[in-house]
Amino acid sequence: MSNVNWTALIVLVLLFALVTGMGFWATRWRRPSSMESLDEWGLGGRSFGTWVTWFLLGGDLYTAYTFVAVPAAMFATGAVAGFFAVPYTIVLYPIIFVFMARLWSVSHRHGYVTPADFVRGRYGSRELSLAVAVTGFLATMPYIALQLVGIQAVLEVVGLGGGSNIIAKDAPLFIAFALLAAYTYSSGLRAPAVIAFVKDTLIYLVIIVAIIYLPSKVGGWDAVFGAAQEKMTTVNEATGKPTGAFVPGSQQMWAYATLGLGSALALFMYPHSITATLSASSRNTIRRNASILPAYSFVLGLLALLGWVAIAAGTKPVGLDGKPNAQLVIPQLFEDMFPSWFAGIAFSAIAIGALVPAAIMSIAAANTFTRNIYKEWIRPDASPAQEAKVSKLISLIVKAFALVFVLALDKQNAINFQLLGGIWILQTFPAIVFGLYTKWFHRWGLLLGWAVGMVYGTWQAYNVVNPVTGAHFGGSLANIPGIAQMGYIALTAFVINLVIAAIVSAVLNAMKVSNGTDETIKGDYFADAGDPRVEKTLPTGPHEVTPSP
Amino acid sequence: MSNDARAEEQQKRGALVADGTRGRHDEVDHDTVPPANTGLLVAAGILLLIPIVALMWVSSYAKVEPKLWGFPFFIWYQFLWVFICSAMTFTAYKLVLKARPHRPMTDGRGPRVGDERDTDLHDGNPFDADDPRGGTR
Repeated sequence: MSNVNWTALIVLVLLFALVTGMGFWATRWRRPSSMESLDEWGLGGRSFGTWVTWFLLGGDLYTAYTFVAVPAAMFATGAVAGFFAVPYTIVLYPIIFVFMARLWSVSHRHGYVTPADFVRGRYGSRELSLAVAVTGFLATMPYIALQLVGIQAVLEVVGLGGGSNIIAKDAPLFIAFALLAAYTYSSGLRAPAVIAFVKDTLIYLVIIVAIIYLPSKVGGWDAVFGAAQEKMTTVNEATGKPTGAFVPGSQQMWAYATLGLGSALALFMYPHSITATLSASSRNTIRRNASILPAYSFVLGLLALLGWVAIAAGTKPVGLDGKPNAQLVIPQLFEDMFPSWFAGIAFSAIAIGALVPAAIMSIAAANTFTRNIYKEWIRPDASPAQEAKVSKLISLIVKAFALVFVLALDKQNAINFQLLGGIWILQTFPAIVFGLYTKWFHRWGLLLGWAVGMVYGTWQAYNVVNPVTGAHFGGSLANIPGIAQMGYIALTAFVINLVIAAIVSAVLNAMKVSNGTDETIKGDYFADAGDPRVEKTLPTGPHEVTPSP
Repeated sequence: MSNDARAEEQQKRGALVADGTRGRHDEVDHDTVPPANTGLLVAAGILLLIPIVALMWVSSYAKVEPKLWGFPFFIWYQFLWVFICSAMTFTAYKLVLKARPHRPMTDGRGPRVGDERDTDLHDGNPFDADDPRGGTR
């Protein structure tokens, strides 16, 4: 414990205590008459306005892991693996502008809490709904685990987590997560919504200070880009190729574009993105947010550049085990360059940045399990109160699992699964998004396309071998069949998925095979706050009353 | 529902028609797409498509020169698109609001204007819940 940065640690603990208090207080914020339903616990009463949604979605999408991994990728291999996050989070918003309002409207009318709920209602297909639910659940789990990796990176640089005693080593992480689990359990989605204000404020503050202050300390932006260009063009001894890309070369443009587009299409298929969207109070909240959320994209771009600032600063990200670990580059840069108290604020920004998405993700995963597995397959007569109860319990289990995942297994497993999760989740896009517009696609076609996409994507990702370590799942790029260029596996699998879904749908439609009962009507896709809910079979419950803000 | 309550209900509905903002909703077939100005929708669609095409066309910006304040073209050009895209999305938002005004789905069930159970509805402006200006849409 001799290398502990005490000033930074005290700041970190104080800010952490502050958000913990806020997390428990959140249960009183916009107090509902009862927390005993998924609409209240899992969607914050569906009552969030434009600015709350802005903070919530910003806190949800731009995760601690993103803040650690993007500059780490810039530091290690340059623009293709790192800076693609910028076009990704730019094109994201025109894309979601188009379809998220429709998903909000139909979910509002029918009381859907998860995307699989919608698929169930639209196609009357339990199987397709299960496929969407399981994919969402599986893709979210490693994402939660990676938020822990974000906190771990900070704790490691502060000097905690060393030593051989496994209890002492992981105790801080354990306590942090236990507190998170407790207030998520009691406050539901209101907790991350309140904490997101602190998280986002800290993130903006830290990155703006860093981007103004740090380059001047290392000789200005010319020196930063000069150092980055030099590092990226230097030949890597292990591979015999340049270390990375300063700007994408002619063989890397497809990779850069497909990584951006594929990730943008996939992001709002994750249950946690949809949870944050459905908690909005009106149809147009998400559309207004599409033009103000890019503020976060701008900050993410600046943060990515800090990876190159670290090159110029000569940052040496070395873990407590003595091995180089690029994931530590941003915390290490802050530790080296900032006074201790501000480093503490910067670490808090990352650590608290992990809590918001971890909370929303666990709520979304729990909602998915409750609605689409428990209620659909195990207890069809579960009441709204029982649903909320199960969901709260599952949110605890999900977080416990994530903790075990990170502590007991190699961190690399979580990173591999997260990579796979991105590939998998995109395969649910046709069932969800095309379903918002048309019923031409047939439920069995969509299911088959999904299955092939999942298998193809997993197989291709397995085949990517890290040239240095020889391990599988070495990256998310593979040859695009027929183009002879590297591209994002998720997008290739998506195209194959689409082609199969279209062919099978054409055949089944021609044979007039039933495409299930559709409980939605065309007007549902344009409903707004104030329009009545469609009454369900339950005489009382959350479905019939329009939410009160 | 008592006769008195029903009469009051009728009166409210009458008032809605009389103030001219909304017609009688009972006659609308809600299993149809609400009417829209297609031209404006297409214009919004093009505005949303431009940033996607621009950023997917990587070869148009994968270069170092011309630099701006030391920043390679590749970097500052993409930062620039954050702002352009945001402006285009906002314009598209204004266009779609104009292109397809909301068609209320009040069908005699559920809360409506004047419903005291709903804090947002009973102020007479049911659709301004998250509008910071608190008013007209």
